[in-house]
Amino acid sequence: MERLTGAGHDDDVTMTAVATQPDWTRTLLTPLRAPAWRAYLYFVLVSVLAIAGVVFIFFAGLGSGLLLVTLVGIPLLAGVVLTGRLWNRLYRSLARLLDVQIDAPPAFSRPAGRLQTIPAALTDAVGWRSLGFLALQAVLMTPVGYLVIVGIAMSLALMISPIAWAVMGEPFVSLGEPVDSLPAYLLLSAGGLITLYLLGWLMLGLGRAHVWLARALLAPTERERRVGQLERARADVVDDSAATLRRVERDLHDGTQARLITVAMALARAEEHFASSDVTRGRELVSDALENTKDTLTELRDLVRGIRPPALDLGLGEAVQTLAARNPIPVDVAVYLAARPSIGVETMAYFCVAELLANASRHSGASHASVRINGDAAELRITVEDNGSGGAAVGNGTGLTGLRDRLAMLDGRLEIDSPAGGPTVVTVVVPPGAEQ
Amino acid sequence: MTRLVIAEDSAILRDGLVQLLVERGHEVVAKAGTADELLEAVDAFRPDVAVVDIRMPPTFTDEGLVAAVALRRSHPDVGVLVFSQWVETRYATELLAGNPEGVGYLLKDRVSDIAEFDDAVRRVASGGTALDPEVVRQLIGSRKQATVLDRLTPREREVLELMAEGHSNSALAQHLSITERAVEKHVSAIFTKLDLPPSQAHHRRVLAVVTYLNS
Repeated sequence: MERLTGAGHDDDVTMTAVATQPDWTRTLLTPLRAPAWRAYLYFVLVSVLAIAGVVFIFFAGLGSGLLLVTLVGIPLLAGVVLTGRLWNRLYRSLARLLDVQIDAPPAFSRPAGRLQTIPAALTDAVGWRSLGFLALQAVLMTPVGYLVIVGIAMSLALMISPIAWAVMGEPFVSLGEPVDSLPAYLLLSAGGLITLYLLGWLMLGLGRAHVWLARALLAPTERERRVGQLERARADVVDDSAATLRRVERDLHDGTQARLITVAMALARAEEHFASSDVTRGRELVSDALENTKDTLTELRDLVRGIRPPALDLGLGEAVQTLAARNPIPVDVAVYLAARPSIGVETMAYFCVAELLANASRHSGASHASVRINGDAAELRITVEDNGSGGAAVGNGTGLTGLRDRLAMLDGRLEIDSPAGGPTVVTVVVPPGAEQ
Repeated sequence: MTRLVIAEDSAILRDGLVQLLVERGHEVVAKAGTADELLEAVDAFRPDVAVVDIRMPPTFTDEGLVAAVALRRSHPDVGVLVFSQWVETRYATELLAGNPEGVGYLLKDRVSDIAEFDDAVRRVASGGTALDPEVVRQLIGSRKQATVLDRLTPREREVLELMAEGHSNSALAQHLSITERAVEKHVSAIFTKLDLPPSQAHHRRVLAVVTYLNS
C-alpha cells in the first residue's frame, strides 16, 4: 500500500465521508493540521541539509578527485561511496516525519580481506545510488528551499506590516512608492497570509515529491529485493531439509531402532529360556518379539510414507488419490496435469494436499472435501475445498503458516478463503519447475 | 546380586531391560524416565550400578550423559553403565575422564548377547570397566599417531582392543583361545611398545590404554 504523507493518510480515512458529503473546509485546513506541520519540518530540514549535501559532495569529490593521481585517493573514494549509505539512512529516517516507511537497502557485505573491501566499496551500487540521490536533491533543494524560506519570511513580514507601520509611525513597505495607509497595509497583510497559506501547500507538494525521489533511489531496487528474497528462501530450504533429516533421525531412533532392540532383547531371552527348557516362557517371548516386529513394520511404513510417499513415483494424481482414500472424510479428487511438475514441486504439492486435508478433517468438522489440481507449463494450481465451519487463517495453529513459508521457498503462494461458518477454499499456486 | 537403577525414557525398552536383568539375578531397585529422576533414585537407593540412556527428556540430546558424568563425581562408589543407541568418542572420553573405575559405555545392541551384557554389568558393579568394541574401535581409529599402533602385531592389536574394552587376562585368554601366560606375554609387549608403565589391576590397564589413545 502506498502511503505518502500523513495528510494523504488522513484523506484515506475520510475518503468515504468526502464521497457522501463534500467536506471542503477539511481539505482547505490541510496545511494547518499536525501532519502538515511535520511535513514543513521535513521540508526545512531537507533544505538545510541540502546545503550540507552540496558542501559534502563538493569537497569529497574534489578531495578524492585530486588525490586519485596518488594512490591515497582510491581508499578515500571508497570511504566516500560508503558514506552514501549513512546519508541513505539519514534520509530514510527523515521520511518517517511524513509517515513514509522506506525499506533499508541490502547491507554492505564486507569481504574477508581488508584489501578486498576497497573494490567492494567502490562498486557498491547502494552507496553510489545514495550519493546520486544526495547530489541530485541537494542541487535542487538548495535554491528551492532558499526561495521558499525567503518567501515565508517575506509573507510573515507582510502579515505583520500593519503593526510595524503603526508602531514605527513611518512607511514599512515600499511598492515603487512608500505605502502609507491602513487599508493598504491591511490588504498587504491579507496578501501575506494568503501567500503563506499557498506556500504551505507548496511545501506539502515539494515534500511529497522529495520523498518520492528518496523512495525511488534509497530503497532497494526490485533486483535487490529479489536477491534478498532468494537468499532468505535458500536459507529456509537448507534449514527445512536439515529439520526434516533431524525428524527422520529422531523417528528412526525412538521408533524403529528402539523396537528392534526390544525384539533382539526378547529373542535373546527366549533363546536362554529354550536352553534351560522353559519352553512356555520362551514361546511367550517369541510371540512378543513377533508382535513387536509387526508394529515396527507398520511404524516403518508410516515413516517411509512421511519421508516421501512411494505412490509419488506414479505421479501426483495417483499419490493424491491414495491420500484421499485414506482420509477419514470422503474426498473428491480431480487432477488435470498437462505437464508433470518437477520432483520437488510434486513432493511439496503432495504434502500441501496432505496438510490441507488433515486440517479439513481435523479442525473444521467438515463432512466432505474436494481436491482439484490443474497444472500446465506456467503454473500448478491446487484447490482444496471443504464444507466445514471455516475460519481458517494463517497463524491460528492449523499449520498454514508453515505451509505458506514452505511455498514461499518455491515462489508459490497460498490463498485462503474461509469465512466464519464456511466453506473453506484454500488455493495453492506454485510454478511447476522443470518438467520431469 | 547387583542392585541396579535403570534410567531409560522408552517404557518398552525399560521394561524389557528390567525383566532381562531380573532373570539374570539382579535386583532393580528403581526405574527412572528422566535424568532428574535418575539422580534422585541414586541418592535414595545407593545402587551398585546405574544403567543410563544418553538421550532423555526434555531435549533428547545428552541429558543422560550429563547426569552420568555428574554421578561419577558425586557418587564415585556407584558404577555407571551408559547405554546408548550409538557411540560418540567424545562421550566416551568425558565419561572416562581421569578414572575408568566402575564405568561402562555400551551400545544397546549388546543386549542381544545376554551373557556378555550381564558380564559387563557385573564388571562395572565390581569397579571394572566395560567399553563397547565399537567405542574402542572409534577411540583407536580417532588416534592421530596411528603409526605408533602400527608397531603392534595384529594379535597384539586384538589384545589391546579387548583390554581396552575392560576384559581381564583370563577373559582375554578365553576370547582368543590362548593360554593366560600367552596373554600376559602379549600385554607386556604392548605396554613396552607403547611406552606405558606396566600395571596389574585390570582397570589400571584400561586407564593406561585409554589415556594413551586419547593423548
